[in-house]
Order: sequence, then structure tokens, then C-alpha cells
Amino acid sequence: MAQARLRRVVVILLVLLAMVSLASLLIGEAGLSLSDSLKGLFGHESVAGLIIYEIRLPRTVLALLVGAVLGLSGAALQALLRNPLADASIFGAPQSAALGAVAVLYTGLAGALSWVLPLAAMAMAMLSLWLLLLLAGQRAQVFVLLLAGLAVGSLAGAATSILIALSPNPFAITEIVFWLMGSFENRSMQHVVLAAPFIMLAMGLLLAQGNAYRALALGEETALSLGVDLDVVRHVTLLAVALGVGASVAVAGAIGFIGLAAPQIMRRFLSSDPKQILGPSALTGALLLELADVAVRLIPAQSEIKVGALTALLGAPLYLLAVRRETGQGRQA
Amino acid sequence: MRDLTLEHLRIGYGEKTVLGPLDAVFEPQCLHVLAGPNGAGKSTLLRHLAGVLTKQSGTVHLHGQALEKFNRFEKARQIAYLAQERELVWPLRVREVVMLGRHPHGSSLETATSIDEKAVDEAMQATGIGDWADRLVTELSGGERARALLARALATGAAWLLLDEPVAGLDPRQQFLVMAMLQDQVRRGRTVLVVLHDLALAARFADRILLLHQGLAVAHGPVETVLTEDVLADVFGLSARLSADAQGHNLQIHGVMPCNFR
Repeated sequence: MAQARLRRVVVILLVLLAMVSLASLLIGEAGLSLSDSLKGLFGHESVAGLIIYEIRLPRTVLALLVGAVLGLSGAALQALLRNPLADASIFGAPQSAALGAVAVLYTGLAGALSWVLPLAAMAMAMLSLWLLLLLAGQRAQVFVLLLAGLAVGSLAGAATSILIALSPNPFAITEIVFWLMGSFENRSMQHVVLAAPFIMLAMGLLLAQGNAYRALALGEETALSLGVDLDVVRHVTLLAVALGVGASVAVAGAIGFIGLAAPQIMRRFLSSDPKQILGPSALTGALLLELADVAVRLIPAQSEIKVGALTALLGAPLYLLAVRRETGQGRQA
Repeated sequence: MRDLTLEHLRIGYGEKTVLGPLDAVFEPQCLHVLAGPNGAGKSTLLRHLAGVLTKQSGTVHLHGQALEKFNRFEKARQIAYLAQERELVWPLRVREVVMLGRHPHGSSLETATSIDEKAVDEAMQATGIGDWADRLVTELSGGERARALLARALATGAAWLLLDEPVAGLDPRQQFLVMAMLQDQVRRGRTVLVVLHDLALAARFADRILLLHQGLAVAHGPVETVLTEDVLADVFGLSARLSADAQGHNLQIHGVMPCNFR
């Protein structure tokens, strides 16, 4: 029964994902007509083909990859900490990663397409998560982590904007907004190549922890007695989340709330089994971010709305609802 | 050599020793009760044997082999542990929870073999929850939840069951049923180490009692040699008398020793 439901949910997600991805290839500011776009999709030589394969395809693929790893990271962190309010973006990891990337970029240590960029972002994401757990303690309440994460995120965000403002850069404001709000504008296949290996590795590591996450549902002591190596699970999870978030931020800036929303949605529509929702949460994350990235292209605005602004706009209220539910306030209403 | 042997075992948190030095032998196929006042070190002992806490010094041998020589899964297949904290965060189904007992065998819901399914079925039958497979654990009552978690421990197939207050929060009938079920498991060849606070229940069901007080063993052996009037007065400050009938031992607690009231 559970397996049939899982299969149905996965098929639905894949179909939706295919539809939204196609829409992402066909919609853009170049103002191609639908028939031109379709023709371009099947012929590289035309101008339309060039636009689709050089501009829209990398954008589409990146949104899929980043959304997937953020959704999966959220599901993994929620399983590890056994709390549906956990997410890397709540803990300040993306902002820290952005600081890492910006630090090497604006001190001239590395170019925008250098491998140093994702490495620095990953290192900072790792450092922030590690510091957070070190300061708050392994058994910290998630609300403590959340408050500490708020401080870490604010600190890193402020440092990022100051660092960019200090650099001799005429586009400083745009750049600050990119790093702190995230965007898939003007991405190329090189960005995909830069991020994809780390994202794939991160996803592999997280998916491999499924049985341990499920055993953790009974508490840490029981998981230990069942032979789960808690230290390994903790460290692998943190490392993988840092890899995924760092690589994502290096190519797309800090995008929040996908990791929070995706597992929440899967828990509602699929099951609460922390192992079973890992893969579907990745698909949901990809779908949400792809959807958001199509939406920012459709909303008429002076300059394109940053996709991270949209995910925060939709994600933050969802988070507040989840807080309300978790603290039991919702039940009395 | 099928027993569990502790030699000069010391366990503590940081520098502080909360248990030991302790020497004890737990014979197989017995129902061992760990008794003692709060803070005596009962849970500490079980938590070490389950691999949750590390020891400060001393040795533990299971079946003649040092406990640390077992790899994690080997050990988890020999020793099942029911923690005092009954954490259940996610609304999983009862059968999913019981199946977690098969984790040390490398099995999960997705990869369960007929052997795993059989172990889970038997554990659910033994605890009387055979019909609850699809119920959500978060919607169970306290007593029902205790039985589901007990079934999870049984499903490991481990020869040794370490249970930290499995009857806490249960009504008297449920307590009696759980203890009778453990007795039945012992008859089927398992060994049970169970922490109990209810001395009357311990007297009724125990084959052996290890009485701990302030981290040290006060007495260890058959019920009638451990639960004597003197020991009960000294350790618990209780005035009580043990008698026996065809069903086993009865402990009658008459009152609190006035001079020992702490």
C-alpha cells in the first residue's frame, strides 16, 4: 500500500517536473513566440535554438539541481534533528556560503567561474553549521539552533554586503541582491559543470543515510542500540548539506525555504517516514524552485524579481504556519 | 559461557563515577530485575550495555567475548534495548516501527525478507498488537505505545533484552501482562534484564534481583535472599515482609521506616 502510494507520488512529481521544465525552456525575456521556441528546441542553428540551449537550458538545469539538493538537505536535517522546523537556510548556512564565495571573489582570489568559488562557499557553509552545533550543543532544542542560526545568517549577510560595497564595483547593489536573494539569470553551462558534481555527491551521501534517519525516529539511544553509528550519520549529514548548499550558493546565491517546504509538503501528501520522503523531497524541491524560476520570468517588473525573494515570500508564511502547528497553538484554534 | 559478566565495571559522566566498581554475572535464560532507589545506577548500567554510554574502566564479557570486540551490528543482534525515553516524533505506522528492530540484520521495510517479516509478526503477536499494523504510533495510548516499542525490541531477535522501566506509566493490569510476557520470553530461551521500581512486581516475577544502591551492588541473587527485611529497611527505608505461595513471591509493604525517612 505504502509502496503504491510512493510510486504514484513520484510519477506525479516527475510529470509536473517535466511540464514545468518545458515551460522554463519556452518562456523568457527574449520574447520568442511559442512556435519559434518549439522550433528552436529542435534546431540548434537558429537564433531561437541558441537562446534556448545557451541561456534557458542551463538556467532550467541549475534550478532543478539546486532545488533538488535543497529539498533533500531539508529532509535530511529534519530527520537528523527530528524536527520539522529544521533547514539549512534557517540555520544561516546559505548566507555563510555566500560570504565565502564573495570573500574569494571580491578579494580577487578567484574568478566567477573558478572552482575556488564553490569550495570557499562549501567551507563556509560547513563552518557555520559546525559552529552552530558546537555552540548550541548536539542535543540543542531546534528553537535554540534557530535563534543562533538567525544570528549567523544576519552576520554573514551583513559581512557579504559590506564586502561587496567596499570593492570597486559599479554594480555593487545588484551583486549584493544576487548573493543574498539568489537568481538563475545569465547562468551558463559552465555554472552547471561547476555545481553539478558536488550536488550529485551531496545527494548520494544523504540518500545513503535513509535507514539511519528512520532508526533515529525512535530517539538517539534506541538508534545507537540498533547499531547506528550516530557520529558518522551526523558528520556525513552536515558535510553533505554543506556540499549541496555551498555548491548551490556558488552558482545561484542564497535561496531559502525550499528545504523547509519540500519535506513538509511530502509529509502531508506521502508519509512521515523519514527515509521514504528523502527522494520525493528532492523532486519536490526541484519542482518548487523550477516553478518559482518560471514565475519570476512571468511577473512583469522593471528588472527580473530574484527567485530567492519569491521563495522567501511564499516560504516564510509557510514556516510561520509550521511553527504554529509545532508549538501546539494551531490545535487550540 | 552463555552469560554476561561484569568485572570491576565503572561507568560515569566525565570524571564522576555513578556506577561501580561492579562485579556481577547474569546467567542466561533468567528474568533479572535491576532494583534500587532513584540514582542507584540501574539505567546507567543498561545504557552502557546497550552502547549508549562508554565505561570508565573494567570489562564486560558477553558469551565469553569482550563487549567491545563485537561490531555494532553483531552486538545489536545480541542485545536489544528499550530506552527509558519513549521518543516517537514522526507519525509512523506500528509495523514500520517494529520493523526497525530488524535494522541490525541489515533489513528495512524495503528489503525485508520472509525471516524479517516472521520476526516482526511474532513480536507483534507476543505483545498482543498483531492487529495494529497500520495504526499510527503517535495516536496510541501510553500503554499501547509501550507494547509497540517492546515489540520493536523483541523483533531484533536478540537473546538479551535490556528494558528500562518497560511498565512505567502502565495500569496494574498492563504491568502484570507485560511482566508475564517477559516471563514467557525467558521460557523461550531469552534473557531479560529489566529495571523495575515496583518491588512487589519484582518479587513476583524475578528469577534474580540485582539490588543497586548509590552505584554499588548491595545484593544479587534469588528473590528471597535479596528482598529481606533488613535490606529493604536499609536501602529503601521500608518496612516490608516477603512471603511465598504457589504462584511465587509476595512482597507486602507495611510502611515507611520512621528513622530512615529521607
